[in-house]
Amino acid sequence: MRFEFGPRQVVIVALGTALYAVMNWLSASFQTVPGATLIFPATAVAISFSMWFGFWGALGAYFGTIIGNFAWGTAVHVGITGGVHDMIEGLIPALVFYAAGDRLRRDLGDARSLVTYVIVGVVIGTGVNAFLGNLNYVLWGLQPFNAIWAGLWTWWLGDAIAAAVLGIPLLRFLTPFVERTTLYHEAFFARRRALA
Amino acid sequence: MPAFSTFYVPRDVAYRRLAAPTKLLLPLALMTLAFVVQDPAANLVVALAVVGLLRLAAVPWRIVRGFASVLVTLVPLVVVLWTLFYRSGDLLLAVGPVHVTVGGLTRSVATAFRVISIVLAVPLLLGVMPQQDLVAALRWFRLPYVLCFTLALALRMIPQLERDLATIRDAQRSRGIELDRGSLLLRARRLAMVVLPLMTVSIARLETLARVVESRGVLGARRRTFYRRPRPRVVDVVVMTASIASVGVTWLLARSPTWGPYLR
Repeated sequence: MRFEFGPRQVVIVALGTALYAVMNWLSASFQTVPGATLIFPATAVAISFSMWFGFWGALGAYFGTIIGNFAWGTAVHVGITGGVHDMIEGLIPALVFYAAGDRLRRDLGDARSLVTYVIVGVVIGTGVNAFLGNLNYVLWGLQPFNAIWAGLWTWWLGDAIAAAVLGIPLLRFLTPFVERTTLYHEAFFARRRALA
Repeated sequence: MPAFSTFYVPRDVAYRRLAAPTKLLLPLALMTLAFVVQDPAANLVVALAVVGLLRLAAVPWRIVRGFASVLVTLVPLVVVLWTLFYRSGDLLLAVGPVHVTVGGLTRSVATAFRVISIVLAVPLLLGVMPQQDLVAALRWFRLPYVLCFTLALALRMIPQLERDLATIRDAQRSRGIELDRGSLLLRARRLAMVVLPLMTVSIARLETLARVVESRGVLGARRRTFYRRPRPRVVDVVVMTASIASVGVTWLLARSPTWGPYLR
């Protein structure tokens, strides 16, 4: 597996962090329960960045959570562990699309790609994040264990709405543009695939 | 809530003259203390310490208020969640499936004070030093240079993104698109009209930035020197040592049979 780390990856992580933090900040005003919002636009940033830039895009979501978490009244400590599940949220659909290679289109240009995205990105990825996110709050003593199911639905709904309503147009309309830049990652850890 | 980039307001008070690493460590120690203790009185003491330091640091009320507004929804929710879902100790009230216990009530109050401490510790961290000092403090704590540089770059991008966001929102409004009205789904769909251009502009700018980072040799392996380096004085060393010691001692006391019941 090819691994690449250079200026491009640094700026991708930095922009991912900044965008995630700004979106996180925006959604704090829609907060319903600790850590849950009616719509969480940062989810769309995490997913689209992971789909375009692989691991480095997901890393932006991790640092973005730590910085953006301040808006939610959660401590740095919570963000350090919480960033992992926000990263996983983007990684789940990204790994499926990277593993599929040319059989799935990252611009969701055919029905198979769109359906796959809805299943792994909108439903499974956000669901896993909602569950792990609630567990994280239990871990840090901010929420009782029995309240996980109450928090899970609102969290999942906020993320799923963002993944569908924002994630799909972002991938649909911006993937061709991102593909033309030198930043686009064909492989999960590198810009170009290894030659056979 | 004020924009991310406008938290720092310069003031000439003793607290602000502390070195950046001290001003970073102290709020983090208080946040950690809020997690270490789990008793209403102990958590109240931590919250009062945070409020006291906010006054000492002369953080403007408009900045504190921006963060404190989160508490209006957060505190009642925390109290309700812990009271209803956590059962321990004597039963105080039972109405159908709802059981309120002494343990649940105690934990709810302790967690509410914990949340207050954490939320108010954030302006104590972000409101007392500019972003470059924050990154310098991280560097002083020996965090890898690439990580510090990436965080510094991200923090520098945030004000730019906020300006872009405001411009795009104004541009859409001038076309007659109402971004803040309508049902939730409608507002969510209209959010795409803001997020898409924002990401296009940002990614287009990124290519130039990557070349700048490359040409300046940011990722070179040479040993680096810095123009501005935090220089902690004796008072900083004392405050930092006291912060770390208070967390360590409280953690040990919370686990001891004598003091444990008063702290956890």
